[in-house]
Amino acid sequence: MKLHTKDIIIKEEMLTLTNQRALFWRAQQALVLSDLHIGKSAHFRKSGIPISDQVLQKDLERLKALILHFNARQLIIVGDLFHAEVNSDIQTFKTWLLQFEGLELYLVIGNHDRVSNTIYEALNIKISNPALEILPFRFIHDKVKPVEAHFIISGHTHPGVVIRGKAKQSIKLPCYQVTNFQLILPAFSLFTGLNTKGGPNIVKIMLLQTPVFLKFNVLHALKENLQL
Amino acid sequence: MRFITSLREDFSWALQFITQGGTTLKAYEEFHKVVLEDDGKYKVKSRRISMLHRMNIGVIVSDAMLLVKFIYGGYIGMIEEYFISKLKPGSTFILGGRRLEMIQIKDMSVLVKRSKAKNAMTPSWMGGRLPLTSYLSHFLRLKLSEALHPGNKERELRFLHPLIVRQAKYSHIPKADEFLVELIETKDGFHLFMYPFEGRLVHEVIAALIAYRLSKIKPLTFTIAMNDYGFELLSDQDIPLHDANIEAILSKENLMEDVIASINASEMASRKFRDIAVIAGLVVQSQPGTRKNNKSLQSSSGLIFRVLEDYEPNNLLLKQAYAEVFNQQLEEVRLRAAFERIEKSKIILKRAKSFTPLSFPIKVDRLRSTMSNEDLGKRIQRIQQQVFKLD
Repeated sequence: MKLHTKDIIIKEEMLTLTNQRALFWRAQQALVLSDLHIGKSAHFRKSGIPISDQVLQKDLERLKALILHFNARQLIIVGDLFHAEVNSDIQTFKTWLLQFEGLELYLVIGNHDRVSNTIYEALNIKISNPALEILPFRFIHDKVKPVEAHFIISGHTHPGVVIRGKAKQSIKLPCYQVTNFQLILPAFSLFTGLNTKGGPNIVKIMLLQTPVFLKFNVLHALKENLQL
Repeated sequence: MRFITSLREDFSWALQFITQGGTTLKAYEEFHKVVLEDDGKYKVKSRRISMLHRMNIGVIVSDAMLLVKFIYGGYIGMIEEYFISKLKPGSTFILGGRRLEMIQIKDMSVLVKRSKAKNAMTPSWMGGRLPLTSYLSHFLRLKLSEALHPGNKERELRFLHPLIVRQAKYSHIPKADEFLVELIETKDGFHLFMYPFEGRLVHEVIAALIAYRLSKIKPLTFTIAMNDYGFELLSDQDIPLHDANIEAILSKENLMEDVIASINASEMASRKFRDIAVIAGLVVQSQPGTRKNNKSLQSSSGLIFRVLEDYEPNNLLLKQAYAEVFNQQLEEVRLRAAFERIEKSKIILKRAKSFTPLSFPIKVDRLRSTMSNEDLGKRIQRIQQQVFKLD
């Protein structure tokens, strides 16, 4: 795994964006990520579509490397931790979790998180619905209307960018999507699609697999509380 | 699958595939499709799986179809998603002899109302693209080379005469024993056009092959477009093709080796896999008219293609995608014949300042694919240096 990082400052907090689809909030020693979709491959398998469990293994390997690299003490997952029902992938996740002693897990319930609360209890995951507030941030799953008081960190949309070069070339990649009041995380799992829609006033940052962090400054997006 | 022609080992693989999911057993825990019972019978036990399977029997692979309905009720017809997704609410199109204004798209349905607008789009379907046969393309080449002769009596050729004159003036009309290559530089980039007249499918193969051979000279990224009489390679960097090396690029030496390498490097197999994934039930299609669209099972065939390539490279469905490129598209005999003909032809390399009548229709073709042997990071850096757009 090649790790590239980029520090940004939001509400006077330093956030380290990584090219591995998660960000690190230094002040809280927290790794923040979204849309892990654990259980997706098993859900597909149960429905007769053979998707290897290596998909999950790869995601968990990446997560482990990030936890160790940043020495994270908290995991804040802003929704869609589990894709569907309780299945063997969740068992794998449970076993995997045992290796991190003292790691605290926070989950903001997403639209896919439909397993019963006893599962979260068993995994020692602290759940919040619909929002988790750790000032100055408010962690939620889906988009919301702007509320001035908090800066929102969310997921759900699986944001991506299409960059277009000369000769009709285009490359599609996941990204962070930042506005004046919200940061949307890319989907952590690699077994997910990308949503490349975006409006004005949106800054999309970062590309994977490359040391280059691109900053797309669309229209008049860059504002005072976002020092990139 | 025709069982009589399939190999014993392929058949065993298929049995394993539907009962266990794949060759690495541990990786497919909980896989559930067909169950081998104690009495030796294979059974589908889950109602949901049998329903998904039944819905997929006799599937015709096409773009997703949407129902077109009046907003006040009343069904008009079906339309392909690719066409309708280009329209914005308020734009008008014609279907079932009516002018319709699109209001919104909801749950695989297009809601419309009558429109009095004068201009309405005529829908098009991706549907069947029947490529030219080798006989037809032979006569097409003859017709084109005759077209410049004065006193032509055929109405169609007379009608085309101004265009043909223009082609002759700015570039060249290939005669029956000539092979035309055009290099055109525009603000889009560097275009290479070739006109083998061999039909769309063969052109895709030749285009990938030429792209592969050129990118061996220096790393390049091409977008490829083609129609029934020619193809285009478009690059953002100068294409290293000139009189000195054009014969080597168009040579029939190492033909099949280079073709195989180029197919592996291009997106052709991944595109073929789309149909295979749908027929094999790996991609669950949403059915028009059904409310429940199996959202939690939705994925793209591209995603599944990548997963299989990474973790199950010996999957027969994956191999079939490559085999289909070879068998359906490649037509080795025809390809060889084409290259032998090109070798005997006089190659005419023309440079033009703007699009010629022959190149223009290919340039505007919207079905494009990409082929690259450049490092992704380098590509991104270069695009960053160019002016780029974002969406």
